[in-house]
Amino acid sequence: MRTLIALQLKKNLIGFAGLAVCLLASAPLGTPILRHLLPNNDGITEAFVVLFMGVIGLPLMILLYSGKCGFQSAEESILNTEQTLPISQYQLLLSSLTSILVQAAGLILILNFLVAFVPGPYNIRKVAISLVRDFPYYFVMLQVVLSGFAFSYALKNGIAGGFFGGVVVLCAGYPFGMMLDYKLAYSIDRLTPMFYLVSIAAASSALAAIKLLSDVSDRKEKKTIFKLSLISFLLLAPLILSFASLTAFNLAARSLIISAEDYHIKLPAAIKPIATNLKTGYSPVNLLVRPYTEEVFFIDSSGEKNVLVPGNNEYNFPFRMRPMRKYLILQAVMNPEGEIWLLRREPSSRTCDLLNGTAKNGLKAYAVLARGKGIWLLGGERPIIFTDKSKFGLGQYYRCQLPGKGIVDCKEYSIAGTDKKAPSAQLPG
Amino acid sequence: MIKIDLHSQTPIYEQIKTGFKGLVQKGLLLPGDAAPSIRTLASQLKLNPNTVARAYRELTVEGFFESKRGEENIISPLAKDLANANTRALKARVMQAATDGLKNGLTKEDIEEIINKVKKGAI
Amino acid sequence: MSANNENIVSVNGLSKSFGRHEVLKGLNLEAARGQVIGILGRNGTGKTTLFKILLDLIAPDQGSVRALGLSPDGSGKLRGLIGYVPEKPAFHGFMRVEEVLDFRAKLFPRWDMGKALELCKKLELDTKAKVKDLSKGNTAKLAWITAVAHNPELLLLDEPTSGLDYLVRDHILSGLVNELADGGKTIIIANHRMGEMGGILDKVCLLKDGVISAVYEAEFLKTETFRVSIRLENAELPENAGVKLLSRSGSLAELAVFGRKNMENLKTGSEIQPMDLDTAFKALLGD
Repeated sequence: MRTLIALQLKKNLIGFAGLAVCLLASAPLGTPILRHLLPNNDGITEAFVVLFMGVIGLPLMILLYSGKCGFQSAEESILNTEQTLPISQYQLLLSSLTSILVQAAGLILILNFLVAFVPGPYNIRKVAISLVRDFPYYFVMLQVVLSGFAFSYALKNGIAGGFFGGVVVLCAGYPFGMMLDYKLAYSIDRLTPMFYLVSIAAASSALAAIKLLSDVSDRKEKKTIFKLSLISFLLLAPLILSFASLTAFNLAARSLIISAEDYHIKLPAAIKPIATNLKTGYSPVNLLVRPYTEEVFFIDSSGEKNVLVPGNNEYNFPFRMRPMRKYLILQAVMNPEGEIWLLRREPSSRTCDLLNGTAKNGLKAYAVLARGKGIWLLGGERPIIFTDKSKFGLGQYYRCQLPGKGIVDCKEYSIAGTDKKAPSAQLPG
Repeated sequence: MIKIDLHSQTPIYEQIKTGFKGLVQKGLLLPGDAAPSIRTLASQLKLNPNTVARAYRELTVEGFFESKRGEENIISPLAKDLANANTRALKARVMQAATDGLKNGLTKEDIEEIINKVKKGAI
Repeated sequence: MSANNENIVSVNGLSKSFGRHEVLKGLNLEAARGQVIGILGRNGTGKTTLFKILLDLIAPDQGSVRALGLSPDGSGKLRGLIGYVPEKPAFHGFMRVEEVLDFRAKLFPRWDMGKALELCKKLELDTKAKVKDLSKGNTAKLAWITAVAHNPELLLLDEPTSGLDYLVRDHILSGLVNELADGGKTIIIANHRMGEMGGILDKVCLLKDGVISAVYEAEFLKTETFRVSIRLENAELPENAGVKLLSRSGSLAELAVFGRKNMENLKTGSEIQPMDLDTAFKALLGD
């Protein structure tokens, strides 16, 4: 096998050398050219060019390169020069693939070297370094090689194969980004192995597709419907797998229920004394929220689920592409009679909704309040709302609002940062 | 050298034997000379080595070839006599055939025509 | 190593289609150890497909194939035991002859480098020459050398002398004889000029309509085939598989007769000559 890989490397030596030279010259030559061509050239530095190469240039080069090799492996000329050797035709293909991977690794190494040493702003270099030294980058490159090769071997065309392979990798990669969002947004750590499983499965399916293609194409086995369907399935497997695992993430996210506590920004120390003194009347409710649908509810003393805000099912399941972000503020207080005041902010909104009602009859919108930097609903005889409108970090200003029936009464209330006096004595009314 | 007619009714190995006998007859091969190896002769005439091997075996059995000082397929001293005997037998057969022909209606001219034809083929 | 009583090659009911095109339709072929078998067939009748199946390059649709005691299984193992000269031999252009030999030495289990170099010398093939600069004749020489240098028990030769000049052809035929002289070699050869192999062949198999339609002993073809010129008064040709029409003008016809017994009815009023192999083969392929 080593002999074969050596042969493949030798065969493509000139091509590889060309790519390496292009890569090495991309920064020193590309930068001045781009600066000359583009008028707004402040951002164009060697580091920027190299980052561009890392994200777009190199994957594209490797895609077309493996496409060319895949096409080469399907050519007639190989029949007598290589297939007549005493190694299986599949092994021959594997040797070609291995040589491409070796060469791709070499190019990535060159890129690694470039990102570390080219001149340019530190932040761009930092991004570039973390890109090319990150595990996902290698997986993506691996899939680029395998899919590019498989498609061009199947279609017997380097450009078409490279194109379709690239499309598959791109479309399969997009859900990965989504999955990452989901993982972070919903803290779904238990599904992290899926990233690796999908990558490995995608790579394996490309290899399996190549084996079947070799049987059908080189060995001229019967092209049954079953075989051709299986091959198509395997070639498209990365797509299927990543969307399937995106679905899994969706399902996991959908089933997530968390306490509304998670959404709170911590109560400022200055208000704590007030909060702890409010013992009678309205008291805080342990709100639960299903972040995926934004359904808000609580479990009452008898174990019943009381829905306060019905869930939003309008996003298309299972491909909800934009996971919900955890920027809601949710607080509720309830008196023994069951009257509820609920404070809630939509993810994209700069204002809060104050709702009032009961669990049985539903909540109605009461008022719209400006959020400021933070807003808190506290219980007591009559519920109190605090907002933090600090300006430029100098001192703290609390705007105290006392909702009664009807119009919300707004009064300015401020604490000078220096005296650090507790505001409780200065509550109006 | 030995000439083989692939289409003759005579088996090839026989033709090889006759060929050697002819060479000895004409004095081109003398007793003590080594015949070409089976491999060499087969290679030259583009024949299956088995065929040549068979001819050599029979020539050895007949005493035409002998093994001397570890070497095989040497022309033996008996070779000349065997060749001559062969020639005599051959001549007798041609004589017989010609006589039969004349007896059974062929003319002298017919016989000559046949001989001319054969001569043309032989050269 | 296969047992001495077992055939080196044994093919039964071999069928292969490419799409709707049926190339081989239940082909049977046997080759015993030490035999030299010629496959006679027109272009496109499946001889290359047959060879490729024997070489484990193409999967058969149906039928059993055994060569050297093994069945083709896709692993390529058989190719290390068979000496194959393809119809259009090709090697990597950037390699030199000696590099080709080194490369193959690493892949073929029984490679004999001494033999390979000796053959290069004998055939006057420059080991330093680059493959892309080799003439057709020299490429054929290299193909021959790589086929026999690993001392295979079975040789499959697909048109080994096609398009080559007299000298190279002579080299290759001598080489063939030499391999036979080493002993234990079985040879299956497809050749358009089968006549030049007349002294070497044991059997000739006629490949027609996807099967081996007839097997002739070489002896038979050499000694029991005749060209007969006769006068055909009526347009009737004797109904006989062993008699084929070679040419005709008016009442004068020339026939190819296979088998002495088929001569019985034609002896009177006819001119009889032994038939050369090339004409015989042409007649066999004709219908």
